[in-house]
Amino acid sequence: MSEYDYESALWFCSVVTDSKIRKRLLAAFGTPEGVRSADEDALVSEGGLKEDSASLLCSSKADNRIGGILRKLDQANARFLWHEDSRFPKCLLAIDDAPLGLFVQGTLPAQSLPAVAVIGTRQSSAYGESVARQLGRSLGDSGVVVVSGLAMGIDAAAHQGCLEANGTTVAVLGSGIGSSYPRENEMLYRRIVKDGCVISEYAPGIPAMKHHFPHRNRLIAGLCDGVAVVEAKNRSGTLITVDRALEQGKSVYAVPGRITDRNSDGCNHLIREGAMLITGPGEILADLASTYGLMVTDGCDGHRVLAGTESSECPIDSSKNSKKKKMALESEEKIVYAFLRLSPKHFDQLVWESGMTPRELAQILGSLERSGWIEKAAGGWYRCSE
Amino acid sequence: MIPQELTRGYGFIGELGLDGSVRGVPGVLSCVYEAKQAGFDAVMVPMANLAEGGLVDGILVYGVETLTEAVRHFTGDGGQMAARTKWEPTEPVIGADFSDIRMQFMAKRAAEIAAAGMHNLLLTGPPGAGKTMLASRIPGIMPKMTFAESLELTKIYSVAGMLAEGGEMIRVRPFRAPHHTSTIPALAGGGRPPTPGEVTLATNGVLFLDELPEFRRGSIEVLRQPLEKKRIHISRLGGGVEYPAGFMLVAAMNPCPCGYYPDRNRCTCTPDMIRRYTSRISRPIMDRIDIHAWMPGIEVRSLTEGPDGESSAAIRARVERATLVQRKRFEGSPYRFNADVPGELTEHFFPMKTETGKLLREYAERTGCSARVFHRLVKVARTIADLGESREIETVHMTEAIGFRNEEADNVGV
Repeated sequence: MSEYDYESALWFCSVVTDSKIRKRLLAAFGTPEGVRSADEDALVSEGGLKEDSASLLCSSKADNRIGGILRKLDQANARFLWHEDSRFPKCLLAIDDAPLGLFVQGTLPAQSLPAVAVIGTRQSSAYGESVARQLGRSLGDSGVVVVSGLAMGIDAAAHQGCLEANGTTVAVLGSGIGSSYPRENEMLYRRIVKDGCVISEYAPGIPAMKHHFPHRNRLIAGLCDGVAVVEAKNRSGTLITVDRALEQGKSVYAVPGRITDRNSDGCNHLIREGAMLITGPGEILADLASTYGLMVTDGCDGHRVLAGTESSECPIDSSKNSKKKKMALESEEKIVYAFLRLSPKHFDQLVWESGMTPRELAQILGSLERSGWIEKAAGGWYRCSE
Repeated sequence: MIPQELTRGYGFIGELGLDGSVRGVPGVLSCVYEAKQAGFDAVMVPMANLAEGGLVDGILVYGVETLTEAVRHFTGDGGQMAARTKWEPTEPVIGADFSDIRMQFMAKRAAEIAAAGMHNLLLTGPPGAGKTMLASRIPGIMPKMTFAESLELTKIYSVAGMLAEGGEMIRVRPFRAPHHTSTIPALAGGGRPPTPGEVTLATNGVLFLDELPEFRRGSIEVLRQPLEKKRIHISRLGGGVEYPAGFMLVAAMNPCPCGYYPDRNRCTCTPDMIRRYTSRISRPIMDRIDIHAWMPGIEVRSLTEGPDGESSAAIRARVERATLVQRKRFEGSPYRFNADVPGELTEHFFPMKTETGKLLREYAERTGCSARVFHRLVKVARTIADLGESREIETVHMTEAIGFRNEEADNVGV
């Protein structure tokens, strides 16, 4: 472990946020310690800072900002890693505009482990979320680290799935660690910290800003060996992560979708551009093995089948399926079940297709829901269980 | 001068002009009704209100145009006695019919159940799904009003000064649709003297609140008391008044700010935006809405031309049958409809089979719903059983009732 002054590095990364200025200052003074010990005149003459920013920088040394940050890190049981630290993820050193320091809450996974980012839109469909969750689950089950951005929708589902399989998952935030953004994912945040880790370039207390996210995406790409896109609209932030991944020479996988679904436009576009089309974790695992010579702990046998698909290649599945097959259904229930898909259908459409009365249908849907065959996606909308 | 003993047992209502004329006043029906209850033998009312006053049975009602006429009534001959008409329930005449509505099976079934048991109803759907169209047709499938209901309503409109000239009794169930900018006094009643608000004017009929989340929070919360007690108390300096407010609440809302959720091809609202939008309606109000129906947008319906809808008359025939069952059930109690029964009496009025109770308890445990929701589910299931002419609340009835709730929604897109 190379020696560096923890507090100076922490001060430097917390106070100097612009990456160009960081580089200029480090070039002039060598280390964060050097920058910290420089006086106002030196910062202006040698560091090329404007006078007002130089005085701001100096005053930040005087106030107890570092103390506050240290206390917050302590409370969150988190730590700061300067890029020269041996524990700093090596894969992030090589990327363009590499981060100088990182805040880490939880335990960083071993650097030798394969990692895959599972990402997509926040405005996901029920289908998209269930695919993300199953991918997360299967990858986690196979010992692959699942990386994502802890956003609502696909990201949250991917983390969730991985945790369900007792896998290791890493969340990269666009805000300072210690607070979850969005707040709805608070519970998920805590579980990730417990079983994996949360990473951010931003000091504790820094709120999520719009411009943080594209910047953050280069870390998601950098931390993984491949990026799997589950659902993305055209021109979405997800595609920025894909661009970063391509720049860094990582694999890109995309889950295909219906051509009428706006949420699949991005994925279908990626496939057209050459991304690998995936229908389950098997293709990802095979690609990791061939491209990187990485070993995964579990073979195809441990994997599952997406309800309705009969693919030979380790397709996705849920453990419920095997249980379900043993249960008998009443013939009317069978009829209704046959009309249901993984993507939700509205009650009225089912009435129309099945020719049943609303009363009969409501009763059959209710009993199918109770026995776990189907679930309600939103009020009045039903779909097959995963 | 009139000897006092001649006027014994008489009540007098009206506004006396300086020229001796007796002018019409609002609220005559209630006054006459109260006079009868108080033991008066006869009432003298302004000629303009004679027909209205004459609706009350069991008391003599005289109409006069001037004070002179009133005096002559006692000294010689003057004043006209009201001719009484017999009460005949009439077919509610409402132009719009349910047969106009194609598809929307879930919402129509929900409306039928709501009308049969006077349950509150929430319609959620994208713009143009036909929420207002459906709501405005609900009075047309509700059971015909009884004399008591009609009298209660007429009294209210009489107090509000909203009775039509001639004082005909109101025979059609009201449909009140206050705009979401309505003030609290407009909804609850107010002013001096306090006049009935929309919640009272909708008694025995439908109070329709379109765009429910757009109503100011205070306005919606005002509904809590009437939804529970079927009455509203208006406090004013110098005492309060209590008005009846036994309406069926029909509310409508978009599923999200843009209106197209859960259609992810059109809706770009974030989950947070959707949550903020729906949380404008507090949980206590949501709990008081028994039935929740989700209406799909135009795409699903236009898959193909749906069949013509059932007519209002056909639906009402089933509703009337269910109403008869309820009338028998509640004989000797103050309740008229399943929804009227307070939570603590649900067990008494609506015994359940063991399996049905087990099913409901499982749902309650899974969703952690409130006791209020629990009781309301029992009432809705009872109404569904009444519509199905079943003596017992079977599991299928409870299953259907549960289908109209969404306590466990995980709210993801389609």
